[in-house]
Amino acid sequence: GASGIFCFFPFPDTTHMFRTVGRRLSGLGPKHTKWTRHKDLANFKYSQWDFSADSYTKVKAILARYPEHKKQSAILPLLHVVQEQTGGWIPAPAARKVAEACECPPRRVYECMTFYAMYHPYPQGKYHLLVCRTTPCMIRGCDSILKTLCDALGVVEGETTKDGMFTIGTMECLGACVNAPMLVCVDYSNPPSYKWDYFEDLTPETTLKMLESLQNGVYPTPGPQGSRRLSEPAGGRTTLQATPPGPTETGLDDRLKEASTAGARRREKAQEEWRKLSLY
Amino acid sequence: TNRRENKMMRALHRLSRPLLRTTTRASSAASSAAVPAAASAGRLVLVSRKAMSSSAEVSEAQRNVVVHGGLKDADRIFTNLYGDGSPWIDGAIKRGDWHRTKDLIGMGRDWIIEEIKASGLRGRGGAGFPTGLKWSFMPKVSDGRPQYLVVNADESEPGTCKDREIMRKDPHKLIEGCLVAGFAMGAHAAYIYIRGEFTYEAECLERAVAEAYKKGMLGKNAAGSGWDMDVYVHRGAGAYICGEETGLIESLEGKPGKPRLKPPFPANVGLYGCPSTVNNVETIAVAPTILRRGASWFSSFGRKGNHGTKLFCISGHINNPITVEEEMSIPMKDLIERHAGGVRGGWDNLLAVIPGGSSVPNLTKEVCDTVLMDFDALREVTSGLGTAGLFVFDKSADMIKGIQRLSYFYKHESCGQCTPCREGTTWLWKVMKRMELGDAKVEEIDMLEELTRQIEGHTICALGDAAAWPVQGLIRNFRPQMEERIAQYKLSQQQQQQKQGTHADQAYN
Repeated sequence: GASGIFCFFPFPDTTHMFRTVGRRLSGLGPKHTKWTRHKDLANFKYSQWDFSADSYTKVKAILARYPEHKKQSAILPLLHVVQEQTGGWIPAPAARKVAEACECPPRRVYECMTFYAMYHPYPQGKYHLLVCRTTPCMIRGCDSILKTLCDALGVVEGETTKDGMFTIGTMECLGACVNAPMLVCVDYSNPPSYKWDYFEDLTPETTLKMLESLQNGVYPTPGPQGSRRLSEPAGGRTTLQATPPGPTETGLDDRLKEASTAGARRREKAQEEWRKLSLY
Repeated sequence: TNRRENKMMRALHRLSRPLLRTTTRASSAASSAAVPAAASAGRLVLVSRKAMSSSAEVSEAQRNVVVHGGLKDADRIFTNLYGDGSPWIDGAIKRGDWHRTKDLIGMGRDWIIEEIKASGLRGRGGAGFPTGLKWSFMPKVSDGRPQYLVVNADESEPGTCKDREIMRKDPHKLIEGCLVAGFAMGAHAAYIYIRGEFTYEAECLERAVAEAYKKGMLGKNAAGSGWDMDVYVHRGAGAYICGEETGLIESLEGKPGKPRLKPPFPANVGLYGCPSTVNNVETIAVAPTILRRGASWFSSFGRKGNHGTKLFCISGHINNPITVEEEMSIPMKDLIERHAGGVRGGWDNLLAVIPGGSSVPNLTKEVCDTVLMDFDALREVTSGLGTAGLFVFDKSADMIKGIQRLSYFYKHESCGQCTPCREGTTWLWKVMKRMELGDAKVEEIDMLEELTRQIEGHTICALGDAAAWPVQGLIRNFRPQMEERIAQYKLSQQQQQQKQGTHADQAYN
């Protein structure tokens, strides 16, 4: 700032306090904790967060996908790269670095960070277990899976265990409804390598087995935890029981010939019309 | 006498006039299949007593009975749905992908669009808009702006899990479709927007795209056709609203996925302000097969206006949850019993089915007995096919809790742009939460319905409608259960009060 001039404004900025009266009193909405109130973070203005060398190769590949003047499209993929590098969350300086890479104001990155559900503004546990809670999973018993996990770890939903190993959370529909109930295990134990795997067809027993396996440091096999493969029916297949046939075309040559002659006829007709016009 | 018989014939004809006749192929299952009731399918043939005497007319009548279903493996498009073969390019070529793509493209944009129009393909992403018509909206002559194909692989609709099977087990169908569809639209670049939670599927897709580039199927002179095509995979980050057409475009541009007002439509102003078309994965993936095997082959499946095959995802209280490719217009009962092992505890244990992903109203058992799985038949019973993700509730399910959970889903996923959706979905959820307990008044059921009508149609995008419809379906079909819940809660509150005693008693105690 200016040197030699002493500036002191005695009144604190109470705008934020007044504007959030409703939210704070109602008990709803995310409370402003030290992790979400950016200007309180120790490293808000002054720290430099940077992508690692590996991340930079990814960043360059990502930026090459979009038009030159539309680098803002890269915000979402770059925020994923940041999360992979830090091990599960996005510090504010990292968001500003992404803004620098995308040549857009930091506000745009903050907008995306807070809008999308996969980006976390504060650190998570090493293993983030997210149980899908929407109706198709609910009717197959996801509440008991969630209860099993919370009881086994002694936390409530949304909390991280004291040793920082596990965070239990819930997600909206994860797109594996036929393999309900299911959860996602996000493995941030070894950044920048990162795993996001679906564990499907769960029962309380298989969930506990999976949890024990993670606690012992052995990563369990993702996919359906029962006996079936993918989305085929557990009671045996009703379709696709034989090797599929090779390339199949039906009358393609005839249709192509007919289309090309039709095209040639149209062209001839158009040329005839043109000739008639040019005579006049 | 002849006169009496003519009178009888005229009377019968007058009775049958509202019911239309249809013609389809005969099937051996025709006699055993349930003839759809007039109310739900609207198609029935009345056979007159005179005609009954003639065997030729009886067989003609039998041939006129509608039956769909029982698709043969030879007619299936997604032959690697359960991952038997390799999903990569060697397996894909063995299964017939990338076969004569050069010739298909060589016939020109108009031919491709005409074939797709003739096949009757309707969008498989939920809205069911005719695909050929959608592709024809793209400008034929560019005004300087590039044109883009955007593939909607943001499969977040509850109940739907078909696109992930395509992307992890048959990605080359999608990539070839991008090339063919992109050429038909005049697009040199396709962006596949895949939801962020599908990390494995995104890796599969990126590997398949890299293989296609390496083999010369993409890039300059893609597949030797003379058309340059680039395909990019863009990962989202967890928002259902980014599955909406314009929300997806906003998200692709690097902003929060808040949908835009339409008009202007994406075909005029889309991605980066350029003409673009957003299509579902399944729609694009079936396009090359339709072109190879013929529009008439594809339109031989399903009823008029609802042609082709569809991937159905059946989940919920059934014995074998499954993703299966079947013919359109298959009776729902047939679909569930043949492929999903039937409802848990038998068909009579069925309570309700939500036929097309969570955004459509539910159907009770009486309707499910006879309804066909296609766009028009389900619309006639005030539901919709949507994405064909069925969830089945049996009698042990709490419908009110299920719909409450869906209301929470819509509240969570609302982008917050427009007031009816932002406030309405929250309000709906709060009321539904109380309805689940029964902590409400009976008048509030009508208030709830009025609220859904205030949200429906007054929002920027269809998420408002999608939030309103399940609740409308619940009130329409399960009002007695809701009233019973309210009465039970009131009773239990009264009993509790009696046990506790009044404040005056407590003061003396």
